[in-house]
Amino acid sequence: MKKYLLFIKRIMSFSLCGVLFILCCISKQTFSAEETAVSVSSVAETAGYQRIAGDNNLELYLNTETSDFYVKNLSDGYVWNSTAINSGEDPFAAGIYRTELNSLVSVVYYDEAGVQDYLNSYSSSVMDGNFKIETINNGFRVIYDMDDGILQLPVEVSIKEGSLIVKVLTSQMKAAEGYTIGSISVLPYFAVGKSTDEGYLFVPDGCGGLISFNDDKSGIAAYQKRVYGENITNEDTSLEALEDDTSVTLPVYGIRKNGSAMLCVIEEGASLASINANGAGNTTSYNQVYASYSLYDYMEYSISANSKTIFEEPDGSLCDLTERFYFLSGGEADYSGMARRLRESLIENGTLNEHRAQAAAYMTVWGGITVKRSFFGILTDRVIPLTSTDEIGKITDYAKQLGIESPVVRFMGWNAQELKGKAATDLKVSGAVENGKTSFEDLAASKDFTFVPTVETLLSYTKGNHIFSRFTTPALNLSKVAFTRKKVSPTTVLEYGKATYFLNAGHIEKHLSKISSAAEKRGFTYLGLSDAGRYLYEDFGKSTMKRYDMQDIVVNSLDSLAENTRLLFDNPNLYALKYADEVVNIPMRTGGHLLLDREVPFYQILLSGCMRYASTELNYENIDTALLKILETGSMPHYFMYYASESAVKNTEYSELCGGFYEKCLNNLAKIYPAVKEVFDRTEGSAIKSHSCLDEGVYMTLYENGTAVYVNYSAGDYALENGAAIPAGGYRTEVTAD
Amino acid sequence: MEKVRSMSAPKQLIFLLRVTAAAAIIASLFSGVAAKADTGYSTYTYSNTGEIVFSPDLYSAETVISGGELGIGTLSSPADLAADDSGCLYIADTSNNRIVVYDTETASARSISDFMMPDGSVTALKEPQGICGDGNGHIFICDTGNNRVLCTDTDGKVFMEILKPDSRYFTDGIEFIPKRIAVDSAGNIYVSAIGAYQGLSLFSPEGEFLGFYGAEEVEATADVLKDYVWKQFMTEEQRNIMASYVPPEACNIYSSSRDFILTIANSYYIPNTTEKSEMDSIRLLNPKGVNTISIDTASNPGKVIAADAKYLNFVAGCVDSEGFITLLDNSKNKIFQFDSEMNLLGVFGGSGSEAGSFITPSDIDTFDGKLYVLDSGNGTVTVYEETDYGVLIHNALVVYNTAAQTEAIDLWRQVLNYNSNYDLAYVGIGRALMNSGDAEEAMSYFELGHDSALYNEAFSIYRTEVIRTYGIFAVVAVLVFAAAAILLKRRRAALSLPQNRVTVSLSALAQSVRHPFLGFERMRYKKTLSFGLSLVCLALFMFLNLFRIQFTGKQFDMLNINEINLLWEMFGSLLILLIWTVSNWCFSVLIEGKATFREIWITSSYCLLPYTVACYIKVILSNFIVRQEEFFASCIVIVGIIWSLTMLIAAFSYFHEFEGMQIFKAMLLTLLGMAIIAILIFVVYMLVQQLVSTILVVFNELLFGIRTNWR
Repeated sequence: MKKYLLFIKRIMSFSLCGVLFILCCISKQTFSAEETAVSVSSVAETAGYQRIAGDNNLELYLNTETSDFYVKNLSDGYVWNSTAINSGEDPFAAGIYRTELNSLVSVVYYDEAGVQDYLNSYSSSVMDGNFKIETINNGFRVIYDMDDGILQLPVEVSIKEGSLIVKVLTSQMKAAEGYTIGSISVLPYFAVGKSTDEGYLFVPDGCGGLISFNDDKSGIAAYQKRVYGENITNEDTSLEALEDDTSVTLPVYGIRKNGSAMLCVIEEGASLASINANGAGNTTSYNQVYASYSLYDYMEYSISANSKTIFEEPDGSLCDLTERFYFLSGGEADYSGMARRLRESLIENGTLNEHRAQAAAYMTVWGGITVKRSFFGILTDRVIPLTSTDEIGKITDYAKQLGIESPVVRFMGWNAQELKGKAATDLKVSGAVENGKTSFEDLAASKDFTFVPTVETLLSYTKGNHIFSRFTTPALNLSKVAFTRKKVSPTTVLEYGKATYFLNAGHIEKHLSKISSAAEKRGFTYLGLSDAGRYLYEDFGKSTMKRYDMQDIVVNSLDSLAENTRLLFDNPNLYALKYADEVVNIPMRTGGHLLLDREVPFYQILLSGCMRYASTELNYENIDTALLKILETGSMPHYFMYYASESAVKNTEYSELCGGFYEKCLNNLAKIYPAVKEVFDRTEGSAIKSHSCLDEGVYMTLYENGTAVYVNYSAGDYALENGAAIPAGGYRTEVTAD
Repeated sequence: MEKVRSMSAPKQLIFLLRVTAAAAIIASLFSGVAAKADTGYSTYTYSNTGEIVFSPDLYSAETVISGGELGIGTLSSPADLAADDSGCLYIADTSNNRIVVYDTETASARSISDFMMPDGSVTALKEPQGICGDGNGHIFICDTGNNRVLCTDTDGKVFMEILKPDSRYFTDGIEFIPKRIAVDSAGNIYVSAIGAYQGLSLFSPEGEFLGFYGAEEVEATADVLKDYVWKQFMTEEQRNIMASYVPPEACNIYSSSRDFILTIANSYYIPNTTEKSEMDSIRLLNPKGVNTISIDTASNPGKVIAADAKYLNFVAGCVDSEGFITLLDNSKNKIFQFDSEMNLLGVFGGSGSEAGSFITPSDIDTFDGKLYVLDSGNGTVTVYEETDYGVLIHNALVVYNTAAQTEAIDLWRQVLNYNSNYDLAYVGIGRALMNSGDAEEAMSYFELGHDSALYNEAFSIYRTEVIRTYGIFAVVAVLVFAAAAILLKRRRAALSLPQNRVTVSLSALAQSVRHPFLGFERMRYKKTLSFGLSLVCLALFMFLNLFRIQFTGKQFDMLNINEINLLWEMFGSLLILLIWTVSNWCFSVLIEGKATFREIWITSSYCLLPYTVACYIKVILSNFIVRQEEFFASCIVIVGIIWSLTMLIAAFSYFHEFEGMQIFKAMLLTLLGMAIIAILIFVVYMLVQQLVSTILVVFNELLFGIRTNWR
């Protein structure tokens, strides 16, 4: 009897396997794998996937027929697929989106006639069998031959140091004669979330934003933002967009799915990347986040009534695009875990150093502004002092009276050249600002505050001087004309005002080294930088400077500048963080894209325990909400101010400084600073371990030293498990057991 | 297309799919770039000179409501939104053929697509475009596709249906296509129907057609007349392209809590531009149907907006219980807020997919201090809440507009703490100071607020005070000065001037000014004309305008000296005199004038002197007088002009040897000649401009070729 049962069982299991196999064959590379990760891998192996590489943490499986792969995280057995599974059943995806679901890369290109077109690895290469797979050390390389030689693109996938490395070898990319490759999307459907999955997408917008899976937000445009801000020398972007403080400064994105998580860090080519995200139901039924890379630029050039598109011509080979994927499980598998993992890796490679700082208030003090004044019809630029060097002491004395000890004073608008609209080269103080007996040396030596003279414009200028002219030193656009930017009226969208030029490739390095020696000569122990840590642009001069070339130049210059001078940055990009001693204007919010459901202090978790970070300027903010936000993110409060009466900036080009009279600002600062200091002292400057949402509007930030900071934005009190209450609109600190 | 021919069938399919979908993907790939293009400051106002000026945010976009999140499915091209006093928000979900009722208190929504008619039958909507509620549980729906208005309760029970009125205005050929709807507190129903340019259709609470209300008038503006003239020269086709001047129907209407009706009607864009011939008509009609607001005649910033507003397309507006008027534009997706006196508070909004920016905003409403903006582009409603600054400035303006100036002063000072760019805050403080008697301090605030009329008032008070305190000293000073002058005159008479070319021509000039006929007669025969002296006279004339702008009393005008270009001013004065001289010389030769070119030039510039001096005196005087006394200063200028003319006549009669009517003939001919020369110069200028632009294009083309092939 038992034998019969066993026989029947065997027959049943065999036929089940057979049925499954047939099913898999019919739907080719798609296979049913609804429930657990383990079942996916077992079925996948039978469907043509084979283990190709692995280490103690990860295993890489490849389907040689389709070049699809999946990664298995051995710590939780979770499987991450390179493309959307069950793509055939997608009720939303139509046309091109359907084949893109199965693609590892997709490409936007321009043909000989300049017409835009689109390719993806599945429909243009895999379906025709025009691809080659080679094995490499601990991974594989696939070379796609798309649309019979329009594009040959090698992609390498490998396992290294416990993470997955995906490398698009754009340096070896071959495009057909006359074709321009506009942009490449890499792994657009890797690790996507289906409608049955739970989780969120993480995008590094501002402080960091989450997009919940399957929130019905159809009709809302997909999220897309350029990493390290817009390309300034692109004709389409406005100066305001470039100065958007909620731009993407970290080249990362992540997904949390069913209790497991993945973090992608763009290691090479970040300056070409854009982070893209879309919720289910818009174009496909998947929640996706991925990076796309703008490789070659183009511009519309019009001569009289005719316009012509100029394409960037390849000048040398491009840099490769490398993405590193970390897979997180258990308690690590959320946005806090992602930030911690990133922090660890940045500490490992020397970008960040563990350092416990003291609390401090940040004051951006404006020295002077330039206004146009006319006498008998002759317009002259005149510097109006807002705070002279003498008056800085008066401001800090007032701060001291209010109990604000040892603030950081970031002094702006003092450089004579900068005030004249010229690129700062010599770091000389304007005579209108430095009057009285106090010199910069005295200020730097002061024990009452940290004095950080700051130059805003190192890379752009409106007027030439003996070093920078309007003709020979600006960056050029694709038509080889000096690129200029003007203000745009938001009402009429017409340009107005002075043209701003940007330094070209040949001069950035020279210029920054001059600043370095000037800082040394003038004995600056601290120097604040703004655009140098943030601007990246292309220059189409004699040889093309891509954004990554500029990044290299800037990093080299900062390296030598940081040797003798401590640097303060204004919301810097990731590559500048290595040289930062202080950072200000770290965004506490996202840009507010409608797809984003929550803002999370990802950037702050990353910096915590390594560096003190100041908030964005709080002058116009509601003080109660601002305090909670500061406590939630562990930021330092930051105001801009000046000594002159606020009507001094009226009818000038600096109207945005209108709410900066120091007494009012310091009174507000003094209202929140004691609380900030008290809480920060309790955390002992340790790193943030986790951040979580306890209830609608109630958040907990847990520090490594065991301190938990609770904030409650909601209108009702919130009771903690231990019975303690967080009052509505209030905060509370607790010491937790662990 | 060769590509397609050589493809196999599945490849062709893929290619076709590619062509159709690539556009969508590409658009999505690059959408982020274009969306940001027009963001400036997130909130801004205008300065008195028309510059964009930063302002702290009045509102912040707190929440964005989407149909998907509310569980009622995505809204599809919703056209209209209305809030009523019950706290409900009604949305005409146009392409879904339904309405949505959103409760602001519970943040929940439900949709109604089937309605029960009074006779028990069930009826459905077809593209409803307008909706409003009366606060008593009644909803009024423009069922646009079915040419009717449905009046229902909140459960979808119809209690009244309004069809095409049986009126002589709605003849057989005209259909009744209701688009937007508003209800006043008495229950009167206002309907804006497509094509009904007679005005809004007004219905009684019982649904009876009462007539039209508040028709737009076509004014005979210069543009209309100009176009009328142009049309006479146009072909039939060209004429059809031009917009006809039928008054446009209101694209949106709104009933304020005071029963004023806000109507918005769009003007036409100038073909091939983003500019309109005139700004959209925005009217706030009182119960009589008379407009009570005008952006054009509002305070200075209002005028600036009127200039920029030609680039805008206002689609909706609302008025809150305090009288603040908020307008929505869908060309740059901006929201403009004004107070009841049409002072601009701020402009915000923009294009994009972030909270507080829009794709295609279609309607706006306000309730309980919040603004609700409907975006038909992505089917969302953005809820704006007042910021601290918003609350403050609203309070300040409410107090200020109720004429409680002294109470507003603290509020205005707080406003300045946030926004020291805001002119009205200075004006408000100035008014309060003037009321409390501190005229001198008030003057400095009015100056900062650029309000010269109020400055004039404060100055008048201040001057009285000064005269009262120092008047006696002034009298003494005048007496001393007069005595000194007499003494000096006596002594000067004793002085004998050295005789050289300069003094001779100077005294000749002085004589011709004092006794024009005698002076010019002697000047002709003694040949004491001086070219250098004529240049001095000309220079005085050249600097007149600059002097006027720099030194005119602020109670008359607060002119912006920065807008004056010195070179242009000088060149302009020089050119006028030159053309005069050339023209005069040419024509006087025709009628046998004897004067040489040099003589005409010199005498003409001498003749400018009395007028110029009078103007200088007026400018200096303007610092001591108030507006009401301007007449006296003007008298001086009139005397100057008469004096100059007399000198001119004298110069004509002695240098040209003209007599009687000949002088006037010569003058008229000269003016005619000036006009001809001006036209000639204009034509030459146009030609040169054309030539230059052609050369530039060729040059650019060449340069482009060289640049791009250089490497």
